[in-house]
Amino acid sequence: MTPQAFSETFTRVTTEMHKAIIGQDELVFGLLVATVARGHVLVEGAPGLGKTLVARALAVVSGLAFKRIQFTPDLMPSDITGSSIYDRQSGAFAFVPGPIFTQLLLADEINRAPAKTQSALLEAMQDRTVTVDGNTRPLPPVFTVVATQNPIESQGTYPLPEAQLDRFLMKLKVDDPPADEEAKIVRRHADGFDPGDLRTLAAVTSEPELVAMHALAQKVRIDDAIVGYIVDLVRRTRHDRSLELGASPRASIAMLRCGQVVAAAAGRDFVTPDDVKWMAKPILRHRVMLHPDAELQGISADERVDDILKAAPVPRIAA
Amino acid sequence: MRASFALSFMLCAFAGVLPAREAFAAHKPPAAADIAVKDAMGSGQHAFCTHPPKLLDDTDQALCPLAKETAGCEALAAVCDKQAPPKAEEARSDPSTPKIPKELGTIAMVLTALIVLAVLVGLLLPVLLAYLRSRRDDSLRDLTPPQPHAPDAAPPPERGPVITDAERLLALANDLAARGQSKEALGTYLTASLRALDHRGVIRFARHRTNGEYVRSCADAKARTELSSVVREVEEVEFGGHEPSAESISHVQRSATALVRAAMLAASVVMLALFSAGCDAGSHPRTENDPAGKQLLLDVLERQGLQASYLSGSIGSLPIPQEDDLTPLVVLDLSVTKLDEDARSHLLRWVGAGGLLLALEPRADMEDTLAVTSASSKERDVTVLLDDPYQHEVFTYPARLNVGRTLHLRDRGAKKDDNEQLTREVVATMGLTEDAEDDDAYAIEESLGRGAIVTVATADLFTNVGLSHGENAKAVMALVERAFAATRDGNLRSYHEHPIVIARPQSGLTPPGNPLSALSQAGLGMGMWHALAAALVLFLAVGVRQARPRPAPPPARRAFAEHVEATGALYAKARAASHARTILAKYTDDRVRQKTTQKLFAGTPDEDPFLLLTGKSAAEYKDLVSTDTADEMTELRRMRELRRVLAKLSPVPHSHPEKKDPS
Repeated sequence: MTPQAFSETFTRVTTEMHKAIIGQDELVFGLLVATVARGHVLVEGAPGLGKTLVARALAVVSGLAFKRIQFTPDLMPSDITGSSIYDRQSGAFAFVPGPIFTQLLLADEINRAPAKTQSALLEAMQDRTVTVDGNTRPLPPVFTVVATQNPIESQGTYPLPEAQLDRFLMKLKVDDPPADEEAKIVRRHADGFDPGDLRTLAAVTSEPELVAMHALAQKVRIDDAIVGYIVDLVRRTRHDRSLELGASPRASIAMLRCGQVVAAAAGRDFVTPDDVKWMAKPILRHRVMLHPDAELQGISADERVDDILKAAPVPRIAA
Repeated sequence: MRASFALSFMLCAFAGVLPAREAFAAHKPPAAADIAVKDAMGSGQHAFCTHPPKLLDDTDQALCPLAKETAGCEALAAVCDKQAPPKAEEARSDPSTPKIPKELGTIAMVLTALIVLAVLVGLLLPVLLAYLRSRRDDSLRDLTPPQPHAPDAAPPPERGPVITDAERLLALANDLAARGQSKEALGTYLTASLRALDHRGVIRFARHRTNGEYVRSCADAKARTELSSVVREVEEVEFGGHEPSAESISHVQRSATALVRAAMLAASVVMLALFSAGCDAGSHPRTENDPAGKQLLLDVLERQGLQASYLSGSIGSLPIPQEDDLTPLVVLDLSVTKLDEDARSHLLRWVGAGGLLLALEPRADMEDTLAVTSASSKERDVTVLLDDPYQHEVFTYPARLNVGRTLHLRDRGAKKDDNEQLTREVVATMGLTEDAEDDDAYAIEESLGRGAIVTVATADLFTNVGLSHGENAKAVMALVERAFAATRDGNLRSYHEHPIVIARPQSGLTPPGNPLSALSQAGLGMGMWHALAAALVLFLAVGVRQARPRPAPPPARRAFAEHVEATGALYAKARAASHARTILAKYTDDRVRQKTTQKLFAGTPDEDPFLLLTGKSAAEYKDLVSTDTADEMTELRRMRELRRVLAKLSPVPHSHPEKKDPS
């Protein structure tokens, strides 16, 4: 596969998804980048903004198997991973795989389940394996968790621990659509669009092609200056006075991987600072913890990341 | 003087040149000026008589006597009557008149002082707070023990002087390309392009912006395409590791040059537009209704066949005339145009080199320049004397003034140059007499070097009202002709070839050499210093706070007491005292564990924060419990009480644990 073919496939998938989704460009792009980079995405937004629809549409156009878990307070880890059940006929325990054994998993309202259940995803997200009863089972090569959470309601929720948050490649925020886009959405529904029926969408790519895209993205050249820029950005989060906790080296690696995918999506075989900066906020915003004083002042993580991006000089040939 | 003037004319006539006769024929004689005034007034472009301003300033009011005597100026006369200053008795009889403004003035001064004080406090308070905060941070930093694994902050790279001029950058890039430093040349071409676009205002140059951001934010579509191609080529070399080809360098060079040149062209167009606007501003408005204006004079001069305009530049920048130069006649009303020292000395040099000056209403401080001084006179009638070299007779033109003034000659003394031929002659006398005596001189003509100055005692003849009164226009034109005829250098070219320029009020200021002197000349010197001081204070007040993120050492942990205070305040706001106590107890636990590196009081149940705190502080258990059992206490008071109890804790040294395990 060549960068041009990569770019064409990327464009094809995006175009096909936009047949069902109006607007939400950042969400669509981020999901696709994460899928190719073999990362996981935390989507935060109010209900009714199309988070689930985007995930389902991505599964359809990518030709990936899709499963959805509705996280609730009584959800058990075994409800996710599966469990061994005694088979009377064979007289032995047989493993019944849970919904995690899929390619695109939608973990809806992930913060409604307790930390114990949330942690059931840790191994799957990090190692791409699931261990049940001492047996470790691999997950498919393309495995992406799309978790959603509602930023408004806090009653009866369990905030994701930092270790869990760090496993997400990026956190995407879904905002209300602009008026013109909302009008188009309503118009489309008036014309008979059914969000539950995505049969109109075609699978324009496949798992093997996504694997090939991932392999190509890993070969995209990254200059030392870009590596220095990434490290500089991440280290600045650790030295920022308003941040209690900075981003980890995993964040640096995430920026590297995403930068490679973004560069390949643009048809290039090298990463530019623009590719890194483009994805910096989604990658860093959930990996930093604000100082209580900053929280009291109403400062948000996005604002701090913005300031850090403005403070970090972009590498360029000295004039 | 008259004899020599006539003689020179005669000589020229006999020589067969006769340009002066053609000149006299080319423009209309003074006698035709009243017709020109009527035509001008009838054109509807001068409304000072029919539609005067509702409020007249002092200069306008001084012309009221003339306005009342002028036919067609009834409207202006009515405004004059309406605005006549109250008599002293009337003013004294109204007790409220002086009292109210005085009280209002006091109130206004107090209010102004309060506003200034509030602004100062508002500006200085953030500075003070920032200073106190920095002192507190410094004190925390001083307590910080040296960290063995502190992140090694890389020293900033050495940076040479930053070149911001796009043209220089382009030249530097060309130089680098010629020397074979292709990569550096490409980077410099890109920087030159960005600087040029920044100069045009199409993009905003900043070191944190990426090339992609520059391209996307470029407001000019054509420039965006060019910039995009430059960026693509440069990034392929810079980040893609590609070797720059001669073709790519050539392409980038072409694009960068086009961008820089376009930027320079745009800047030139803007400058030209501004210059044109300035030139346009120099053209006189035709519909002014200022009774003391000079629009009617300008119009009448043009109708008389002369080239007249306002002086567009400064008197201080009048070009020094050379031999055979066609110098303009400058009409300078010294009652409205104040000359600075540079302009005054330049004016003398200009006249000495052949300039012609018609100076109106000299002030006391102009004695050394004009060698005349003016004094009041009871006479309001004047007579302008004009020679006719062909008929060998003197024509007289009577005029009526607003107030009478006479001129008295003064000796230039030591200022006179040895080679200077100084001659003086009375041009107009006070009263309707043809006797030219110095004692009642209204206008005096004197030569200075190769030039000449005609000084007129008052400027009211040349104002709109003065010119429209009776036969004043003829007298004015006679004065203008005398000014033309005053030249001594035998330059007898046609009068109408000489332009006439009328100085504006601002023409007496020499063009400033820099912005600071411009502000000073505009009377804004003190304001400039105030603005600079305010900007400095504002910078300190806002800039310091907005300067985040700034390079700083790893943040020092706040003191424990501060943590307690901040957390307590946070949960007190949320009215969650029980939660706060748990958090505070955990803080205490963490601190003690960090100090002893072993778990103390292992058997203490974490669910009972009071027991935990009792074990790790000198506080009594019942004291701690009392903060919870006192139901009448508010949440905030509970926090205070809890903090008082926690203050008994033994001091715990500050520590700086790694924020995160890099593994």
